[in-house]
Amino acid sequence: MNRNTTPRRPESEPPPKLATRLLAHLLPEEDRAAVLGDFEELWGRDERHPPGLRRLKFWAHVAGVGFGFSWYRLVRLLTSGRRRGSPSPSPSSPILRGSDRGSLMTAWIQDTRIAIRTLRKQPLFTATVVLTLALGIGATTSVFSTADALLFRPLPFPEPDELLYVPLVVPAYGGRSELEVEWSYPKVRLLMESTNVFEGSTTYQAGSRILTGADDPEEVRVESVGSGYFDLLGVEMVVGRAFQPEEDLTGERPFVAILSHDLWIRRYGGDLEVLGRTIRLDGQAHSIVGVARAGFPGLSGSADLWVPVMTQGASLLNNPDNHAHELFVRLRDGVSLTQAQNQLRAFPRLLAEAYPPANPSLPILGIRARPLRELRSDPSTRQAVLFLLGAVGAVLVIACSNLANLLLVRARRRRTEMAVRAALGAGRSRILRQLMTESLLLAAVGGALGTAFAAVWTPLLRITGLRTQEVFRQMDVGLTALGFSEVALDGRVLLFSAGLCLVVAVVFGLTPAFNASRTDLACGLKGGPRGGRWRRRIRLRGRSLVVTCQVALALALLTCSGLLLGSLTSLVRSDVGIRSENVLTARISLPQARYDSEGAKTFWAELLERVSTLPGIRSSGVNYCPPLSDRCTGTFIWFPDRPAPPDGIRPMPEFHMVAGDYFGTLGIPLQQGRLLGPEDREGMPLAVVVGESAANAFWPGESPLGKVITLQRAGLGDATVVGVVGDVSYGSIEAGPRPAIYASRNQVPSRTGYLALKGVRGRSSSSLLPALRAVLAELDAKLPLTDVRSMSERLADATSPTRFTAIVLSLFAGAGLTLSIMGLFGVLALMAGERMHEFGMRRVLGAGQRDLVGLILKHSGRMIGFGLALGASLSWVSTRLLENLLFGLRPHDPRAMLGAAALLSLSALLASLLPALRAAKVDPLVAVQQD
Amino acid sequence: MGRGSIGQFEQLVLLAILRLGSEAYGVAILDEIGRTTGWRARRSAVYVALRRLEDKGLVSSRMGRPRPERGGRARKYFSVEAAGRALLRESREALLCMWKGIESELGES
Repeated sequence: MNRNTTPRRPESEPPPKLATRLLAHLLPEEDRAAVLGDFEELWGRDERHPPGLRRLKFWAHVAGVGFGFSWYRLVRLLTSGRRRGSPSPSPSSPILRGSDRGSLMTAWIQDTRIAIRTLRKQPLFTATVVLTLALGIGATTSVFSTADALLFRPLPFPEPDELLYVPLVVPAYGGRSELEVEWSYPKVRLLMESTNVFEGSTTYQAGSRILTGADDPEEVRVESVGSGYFDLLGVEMVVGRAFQPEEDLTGERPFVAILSHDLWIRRYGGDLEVLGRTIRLDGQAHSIVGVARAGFPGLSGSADLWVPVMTQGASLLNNPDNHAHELFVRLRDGVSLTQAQNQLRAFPRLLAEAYPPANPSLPILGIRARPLRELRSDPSTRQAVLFLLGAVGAVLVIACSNLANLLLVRARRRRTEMAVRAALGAGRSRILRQLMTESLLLAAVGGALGTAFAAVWTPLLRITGLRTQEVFRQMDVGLTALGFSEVALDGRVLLFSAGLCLVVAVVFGLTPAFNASRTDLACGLKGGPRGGRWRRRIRLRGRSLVVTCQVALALALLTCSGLLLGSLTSLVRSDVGIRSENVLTARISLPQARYDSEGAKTFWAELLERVSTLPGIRSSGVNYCPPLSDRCTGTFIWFPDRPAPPDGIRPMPEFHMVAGDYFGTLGIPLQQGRLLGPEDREGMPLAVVVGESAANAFWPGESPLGKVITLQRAGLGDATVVGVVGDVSYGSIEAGPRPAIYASRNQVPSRTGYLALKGVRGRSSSSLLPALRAVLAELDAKLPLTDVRSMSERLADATSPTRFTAIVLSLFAGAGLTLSIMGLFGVLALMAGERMHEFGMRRVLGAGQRDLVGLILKHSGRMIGFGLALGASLSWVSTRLLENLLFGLRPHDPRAMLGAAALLSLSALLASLLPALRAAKVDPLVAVQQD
Repeated sequence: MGRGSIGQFEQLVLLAILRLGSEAYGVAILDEIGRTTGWRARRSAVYVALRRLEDKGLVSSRMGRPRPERGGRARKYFSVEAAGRALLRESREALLCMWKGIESELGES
């Protein structure tokens, strides 16, 4: 050793150990030391790079060199065999004799080489097996990657089990079920002062603001959070810092903000100089102090940036009745959930003393602590994902059993080959190993191809999932969106996929391999049928049983997909209460800083007036929320002419603030009285129009016209009902319409609104957009137009979760049907082949062609019959699991199962006919001569 | 095909070894190709090419002494064998013949 050369600096980081070890394994012995040395030398050169980049580069080079050498060796291995000029191994070679010469590695390489050669000689068989496996494994892998990210994997935060979601609880009373509600900031403070089981806490409230700067104005999703938010969740900053505790106090200016990685890249091009730059949110200046790590969309699942909660202003923040903040806490080390829950038990009383409820008859608020992981996926997503996982598993089982049958048949055909090998001295284990190598190789190639398929499908699943979440944005789906954003083919998923390949190879390869390795020399060499009649029967029974199970699984899959397709049809056909043709909708949100309520009133009136003069527009109107958005607000109402309800519960209908010709634009019919018009302006008595459901619910059996209701909404007071309109579903199609009250924006101003424009017939709604943008820019160039979608798109989006599940499940069911029919066909063809001799004898003894067809169809009928019976019970169980995903159909709707059974029987009959007709055409003489 | 023909990249590697003389080891070859041609050669391509050339008998190698900056591992120095030189010459002549008369067409002086 030369010790005089420059010593390595002690603080210098060594190259990644795992990568080095991996590289050492992949390199050939003769190059190992030299290449590893070169890698270490080059690692030393990269010292100035950031550590993460340096390691990434090292790994990339390891992967490249490892792959290069493996590929080179594989090619050499394959071509060297060919060069020696023997297309198949000669009987005298050690490969056939299974000699123990050479290491296990050499034997394995030999096995692989033979397997590759054998499989290449049967391209059709190999392609069938590999494709079947690739589809099965690909589909399973991508569904698993989704399930893993949404349900199985720990949440992507450090020590996720210590994180709790703590809501306030309104107990069940007066027929209303229990409700979890948000906190007001003073109540959060009271909780944190009175407990010591939490290490940290943070609140968050999601909303949207208008971001202005050098670029176009843009509506961004903002989370107003407590300063502990990022520390609590362990989310690092790429640049800059997280919020500091003093930024949690009110009144401090200038305000600060943290960008999401997405926004940083999208709007600022990933500029490192972004720190300290000032942006305006709703006109207020904020200075950027940090950028959060990539892939963190906030607890709401869609945050573009974060601001400290104090930007809301002291009056809102210090109002104990402003229940608007979600609360998350982290348990102190060593404190269990139960201990925390015990300590929280005293809190409701404390809370009631500090902030007594306005009405003494109301129950006092409770508190609850739930592990954050319970919120990670909303129940319907969880159910759909689990269901798809089960369905894809069923398809995989069907595919594997088909492959097992296929390999069994192939093993039978290779009896002679195996007998020759055995005769030349190959032990049973050697033959078994050879056959297993073939299965493993098939599984590996199929798995690799399947993973490639999954690499294409998985991003599609992620995008569809995120889109679905986007449409149904609710408080408790934030983590689901977070989960969907984490869907990827990572190490865990690849490990799952590799394990799956191994299991599949063993399952479909072992039985045929055992069968074939039990060589019977005399029979095998003679090439005749092996085993006695009873043994053949057992084999056939076994295969028939496999087909029966396949038919059962296929029936269950078809029934479920039939049900989902049925509910999709009912969803699409259901009446939302509007006419969506040619209607464009878009959201406009006026910043509080520049628009007071008077300004908002003028803005909407002017906007509608200018829009109505545009060519191609038939009518226009504004509402607070569009149909099927689930973004509406409500208000408590009571009836001044009736006594107060004994339990103190007041109804809370939806409350819509409309302007212009809203009802006409969306085709909502007037049923009684009049619509809201220009006469309903400030200074006049407040007039409201109610929906049909509200009319029926609040004034059953009488006309609501002229009735007076009191609205709890600040400062509104009494209102007179002047009209009744048709019902509209503002939530989801499934939930249907709710009681609704409409008031004019002239009397109840609002800064947020969805503009609805109806184009003249024959003009697509999207063609109205440029003109609308121009009008908006004239009025206020700093206002963005967001959530621009035609009403028809909104309708389509509302059915997208069901459509997605239905389509994916139908694909699986189609695959299951095809595969099980292929299995049935294979078994029948095999049976007909094996019984050719018997059929010949029967013909000789006087049986007609029709009798033989009947014989095969009977056999097929028995398999299908048992399969359908088994499948019916399986469907009964599995459709129950679908219950919550269905709309307008019961889980045990007989039409679905009958339709599925009919489809399956018909396809099975067609598949049985070909082998049956072939058997019937058997020439008795030839068949008998075979003996 | 016997020792056969060699690809363009393999020629680059052989030429780099010749240019470096007694100092031709992996990292130096990578650097030399980069410096002379301006192309960024991939490590995997260089190492696999070296292995292939050695397997074909076109280059030979010897190990140097262990070095601390390489984690105590030695450098592997390559030299071009007679067969390699012959192939390079053949390939150069073939290329020059093919180039004759078309240089102007491809905008070269």
